Amino acid sequence: MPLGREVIQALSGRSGAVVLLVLIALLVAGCSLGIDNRPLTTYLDTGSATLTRVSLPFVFFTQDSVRAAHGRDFLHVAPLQTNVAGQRRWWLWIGAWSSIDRGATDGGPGWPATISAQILVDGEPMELDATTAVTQLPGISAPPYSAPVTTAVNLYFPLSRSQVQHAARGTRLALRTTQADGESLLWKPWNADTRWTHFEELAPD
Amino acid sequence: MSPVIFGVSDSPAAALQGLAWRWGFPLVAGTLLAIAARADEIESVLIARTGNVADVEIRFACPHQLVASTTTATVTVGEVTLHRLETCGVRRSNLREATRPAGRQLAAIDLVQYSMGEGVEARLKITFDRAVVVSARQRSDRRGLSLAVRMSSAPGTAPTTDIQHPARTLPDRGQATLSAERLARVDERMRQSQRSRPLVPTITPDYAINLRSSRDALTAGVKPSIGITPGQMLYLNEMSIGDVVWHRLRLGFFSSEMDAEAALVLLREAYPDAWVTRVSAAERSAAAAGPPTATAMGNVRLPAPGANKTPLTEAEAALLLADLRAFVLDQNYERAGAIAGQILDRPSGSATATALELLGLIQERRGDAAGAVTSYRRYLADYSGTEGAIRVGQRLAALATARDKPRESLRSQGSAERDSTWELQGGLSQFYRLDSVSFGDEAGSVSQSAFYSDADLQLRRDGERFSMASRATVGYTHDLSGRNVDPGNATRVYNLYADLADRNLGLSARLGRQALRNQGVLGRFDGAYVSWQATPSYRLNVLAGYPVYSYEDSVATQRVFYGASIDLLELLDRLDVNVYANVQEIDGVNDRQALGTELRYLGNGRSLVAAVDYDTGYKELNNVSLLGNWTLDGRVTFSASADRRRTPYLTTEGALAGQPAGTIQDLLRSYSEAEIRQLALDRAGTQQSIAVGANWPLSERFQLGLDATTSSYEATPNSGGVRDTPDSGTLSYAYVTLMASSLLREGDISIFGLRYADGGESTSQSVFVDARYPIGRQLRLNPKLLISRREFNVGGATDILIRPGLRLLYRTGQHFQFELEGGGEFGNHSSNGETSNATAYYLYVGYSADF
Repeated sequence: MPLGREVIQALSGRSGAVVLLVLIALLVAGCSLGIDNRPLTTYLDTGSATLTRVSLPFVFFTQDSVRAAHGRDFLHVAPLQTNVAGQRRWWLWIGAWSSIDRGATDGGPGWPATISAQILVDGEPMELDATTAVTQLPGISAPPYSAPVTTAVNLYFPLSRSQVQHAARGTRLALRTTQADGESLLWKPWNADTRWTHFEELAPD
Repeated sequence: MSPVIFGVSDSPAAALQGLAWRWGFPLVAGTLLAIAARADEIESVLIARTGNVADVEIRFACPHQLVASTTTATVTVGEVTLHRLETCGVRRSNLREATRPAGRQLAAIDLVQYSMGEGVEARLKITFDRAVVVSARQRSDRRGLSLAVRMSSAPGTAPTTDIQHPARTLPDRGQATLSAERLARVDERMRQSQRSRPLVPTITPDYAINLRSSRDALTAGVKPSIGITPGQMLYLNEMSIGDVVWHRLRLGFFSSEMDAEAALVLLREAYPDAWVTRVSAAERSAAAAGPPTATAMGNVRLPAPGANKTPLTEAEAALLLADLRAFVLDQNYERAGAIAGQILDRPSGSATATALELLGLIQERRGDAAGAVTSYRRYLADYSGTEGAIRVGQRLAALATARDKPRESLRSQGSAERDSTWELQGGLSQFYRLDSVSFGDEAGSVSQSAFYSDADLQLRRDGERFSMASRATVGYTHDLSGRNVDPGNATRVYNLYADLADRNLGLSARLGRQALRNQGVLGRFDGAYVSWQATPSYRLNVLAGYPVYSYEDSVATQRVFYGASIDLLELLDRLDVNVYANVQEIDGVNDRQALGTELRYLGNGRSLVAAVDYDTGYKELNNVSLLGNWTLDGRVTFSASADRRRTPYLTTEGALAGQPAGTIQDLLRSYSEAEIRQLALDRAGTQQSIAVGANWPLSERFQLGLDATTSSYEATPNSGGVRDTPDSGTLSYAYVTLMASSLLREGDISIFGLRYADGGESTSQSVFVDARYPIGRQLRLNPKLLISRREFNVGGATDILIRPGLRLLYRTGQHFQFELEGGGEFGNHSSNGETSNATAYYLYVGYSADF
């Protein structure tokens, strides 16, 4: 007799209802514990590294009405954790792109280089280490995120565990960057929800 | 517990057991014998530390196979899944034990817990007091587990330089690998490693902790009650965001992010919003050049000694040192402290190091532990790599250990003498267990309803020369079923012994109920065990006592044994050998006369254990076994074992099996001694087994385990009215497990398994999942499910088994844990077109507390 039929037969007895109830309870418990409302996803990279990230990046923007009435600069931002050969590290991905045609307005090549960046957690600045920012995650074969346009500049800033936790505790987050020309930009969130609550799950105590 | 829940019938328990056996329901059979016992599964925990890595050796009373562990990740709770390979005389399940080992502070350990539920799976849970990185490795004899705990030094708790302080428990005579001379060798290796270590770190410390940020200027109101390691400092940093200036109080500098994060763990309570950041060279320079924050933040920097003063001449220094030593010897610490201050007030010279060390000693003896720690740390910072640094490091470690465990110490207030330190630790647990089983349409019957109370007390005193310890592990079973079946009311005594060790003479003794599973001893016994460390490479042991075959038994004098052995240690630096002779008598008749040896080879990533036990009376080999372990690249572990043994062990008492006589004396009325010995030989069949296994971490989150075993049991003859047993043929088992961590959420563990067994008369396949989900810091859920199919070769009968369960653990505070587990077992038996069902439920609830 096939195993499937036997299992069904075992479940069809008087005790079957109890078994099913228990199984359903376990399933519900499992779902409610781990899956409910969780934007974090984890997957194995092809290089056998593990990567945990939020499902949807956060979007920040600045307006520059002098250059373009309807154009904006955008930063797509998302925290992530990599685990390569047991070494766990946290990063902040920033994908920068713009709907402003700087070549048309300035005649220049594009954005000046960014020399420093800070996350503002309820106004408090928390610097990102620009000197060790990378354009490709070490040990990871495929980029975990992609900005909406192929011309976007992708940067990964290393974060400490406590920086991730601190950002998670904030109720209002913003970004600030300083460019090589000395200009500082304050990036505002595109959506109303700026709480990075799931950061906390990314770096538990 | 109300019987209404499961119903009650008067079905005989024996009938239930028989049915359970026929249907192959391990749970049903197991629950009839289940118990919540606090046992002595952890024989010893030995901790040594070099630099930021602590080596923890956990020795089990019974062999265990490492199945999976939470490795490499940074954790505060480490979990290791084990398979118990032998019963070791423990007939019951649901064992649990907790211990706070001596010297645990060296490995940041708070608690080590062992638990085993139904079946063979056991769990080891190690709770740390900070975030650490842990990796676990199997010891070759499968009675041990090696944990490497990687920590970072942290202000306030950990030494700032490497500390050599292997935490010694009383000599563990049963384990040659943990011998005192091995510890001495470890000491020497650590000393050598320190000598070769560069005095100045080459890594630029460019990490800092941002303790606090404020829009207002930070002034004298900020007083961090933290210890600042020499070389570190508090400083202020400012950053403008638009028109707002942020003032930030920072602690720097750390050579790595991990170091800074580890330090932050200890500061979290005072600075809940602190975070670690990498700082620029410009910030480091500004912090060093800027005004010290000491005036605003408290005593931050250690004052530079001897500023603006002339150095002591050699003659002055010698005189002052002589006075200082004299006052210390006279215990005139006030005068001694004043002289040490005079020396240290001058620029550094030939007397400075000694004065600093003695100042620490003076402070320690005056009860000023904080001052002593500061002095010792300053010494280690200034005189690292010197001979005195080793001594001071050990004092600091001892001081840190003593400071970290005031609640456990019975030491009177104000006394800092090591000789007067008593430690008391232990635990208490109480559990209620209810089992119900029913067959077909019959009402369920309560097969067990009992209340189990267990306690474990350990008292220890370590002196300069003598060490004393005692342990009592006892329990009581209160049977509520009201029927004359297992478990019944019973008192259980696992351990009741006292230890005494004399370091000068190298003598140690243990007296009372204890367990030993080598040197020819078959397990627990009431008696004495004395060891003499003759030289660093030789140890002589003598022992005698009354074997205890059940911890529910009181002292039984009908059996007695005597034994002696010699340990040859670290031959060729890699090999330990134990040779023993052991004689056991029962009712005046020779029961066992063993001559044996055990060899342990410990190489780099490889190990091998070989054991032979030969009975010179019977002229038969009782046991020959070989067990090897090989770790590849520090990750993949292969193991293999082969053994041929008598089962049960060959003893004259074995002749009683199947006989109406209860004692050998009774049997002598029917048989001669020679006939009895032949009966014993007939009953002790020969079992052969070969096992191979591998453990492969696929990634940090996934780990694969493979195990395969083949065994056979030779036929035994028809004799003395006992029927023969046929040759079992070849029995095969294969076991594959995949363990995943943080699958659904950080910290969870899921184990998926497949099991195949060809048991000769039947074959079975099982699939199971066992998951553990943490919910917050206190609650943990453990759902599990097993589905199994068993097919009998004769008659075409088939069993289907479904076994769900759910366990809930709630931990409150550091020392109290509530546990609730419930589950069932649902079976369907098909044979010749007829089917029948069986159902079993169990409930298990209680608490455990330790101190």
